[in-house]
Amino acid sequence: MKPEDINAEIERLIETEDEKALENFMIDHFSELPEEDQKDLLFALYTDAVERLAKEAAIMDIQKRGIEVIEKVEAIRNILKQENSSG
Amino acid sequence: MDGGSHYRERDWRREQAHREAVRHPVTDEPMGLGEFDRSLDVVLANPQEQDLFLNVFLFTKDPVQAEEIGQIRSNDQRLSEEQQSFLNRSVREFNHRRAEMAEISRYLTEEELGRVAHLDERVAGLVTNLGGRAPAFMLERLQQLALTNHAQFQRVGQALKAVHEIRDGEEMKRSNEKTLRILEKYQITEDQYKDAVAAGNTFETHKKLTSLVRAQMTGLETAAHYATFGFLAKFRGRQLVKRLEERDYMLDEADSHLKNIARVLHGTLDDRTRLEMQNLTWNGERGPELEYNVTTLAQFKNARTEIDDLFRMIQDRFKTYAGEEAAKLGETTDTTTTQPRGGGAAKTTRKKRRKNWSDLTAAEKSRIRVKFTAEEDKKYKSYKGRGVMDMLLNRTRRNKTFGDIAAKVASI
Repeated sequence: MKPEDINAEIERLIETEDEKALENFMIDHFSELPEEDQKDLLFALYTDAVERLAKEAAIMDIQKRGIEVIEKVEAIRNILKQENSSG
Repeated sequence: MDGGSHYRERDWRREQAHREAVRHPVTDEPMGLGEFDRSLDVVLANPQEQDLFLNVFLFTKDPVQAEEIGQIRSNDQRLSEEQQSFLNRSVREFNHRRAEMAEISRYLTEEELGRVAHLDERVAGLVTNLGGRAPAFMLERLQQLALTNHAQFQRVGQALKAVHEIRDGEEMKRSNEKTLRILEKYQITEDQYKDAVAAGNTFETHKKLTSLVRAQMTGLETAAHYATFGFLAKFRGRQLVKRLEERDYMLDEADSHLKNIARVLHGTLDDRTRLEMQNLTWNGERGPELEYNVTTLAQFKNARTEIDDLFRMIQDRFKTYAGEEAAKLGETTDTTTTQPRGGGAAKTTRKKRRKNWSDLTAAEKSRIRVKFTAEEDKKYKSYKGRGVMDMLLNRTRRNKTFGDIAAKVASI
């Protein structure tokens, strides 16, 4: 597409307020965007993705820690139960 | 003590404190400046570093001082002690940011970008398209962030490090599945603890959910401490727990901890609670997220209109601003001399009035222009969006930079 057609389509999608369609259009026509726009879009989407993934990693840490503690507490319960059954 | 030695001693103390305060942006370990431990002269001798220091870092830090120093330097004039001290202080901060940037750049290799692309399909499209140019694009933008918004830069750095430790996209899915399996294995089912877990979903307000999650996370820490130290201390202390009622009491205690952990683990599988946990652990440690005021295209359209209007009317607003700022600089006296009609000695009248723009010196006018330009620039940058909104805002601001604003008011 010609640069003016790209800009016209971006303007049209902004007007329709269809965010997903605009994002898809920019990704599909990424190589046709001006270099400054390419840098901005890459940085914006990349940092957005990285922060989302980092938050997921924080949940994984909680799960890992929770599972470790459950296993320890279960071992403690088993010791106490054995003590009970042996008198 | 003369003024010069006062500044030198203060600078020396600050330099020492600064060296001790330099910490790694991700690990928070003390960090040396390495190759970035440079004097002001060394930074200014390198055209690329000089540009970053004077035109990006210093302008963000204090545009009025930066402009004044720039003018003095370009006229080969001598800087005041205070200005020299400001430069020395600033170059240390600049070196620190550059050293941090060098550390963070390790997480922006082609391989690293490819890994994140594998985890996010939007990024995948862009990285594939750019190929080997992607790391350079990212580094350039991250460098700007390091020099202009340190808090946000550190947040991004920590996110890059956290993601670096995720091996693949399946890992998160596997972690959820394992959590569910463990809860089932030990028969810690949602049914068994439904009262406790449901509590998280019946609270309507965000505030109550936040405080519930906070309490749950404290419960996990208490349970972890009990499992690691607390129980052993009690158990070893008595070799064996002799009395049945004592063992029953300890079993109840273990059950109670198990319930607390179960609440947390069930919480990690519930969307709303999971989000709260992320806010508590991720945002809690790293400070609040940027407040985004442009999150929809409707908001972007409004922001664009406001920015365009601000820029279009800039000269009119500057005239008003300049008049007000001139008046703040005090009074001047108008002297009028009149010759009486019938002859005789000329009569001189003096009338005091507030200063106006035409009364100011070139230096005063320049200072007001720069102050206005900085305030305008800040207004345009106050619109913050994420993802595509951020890119659209940058597009809108591209021909309304500090330099563009300064050019508009230069002729007035």
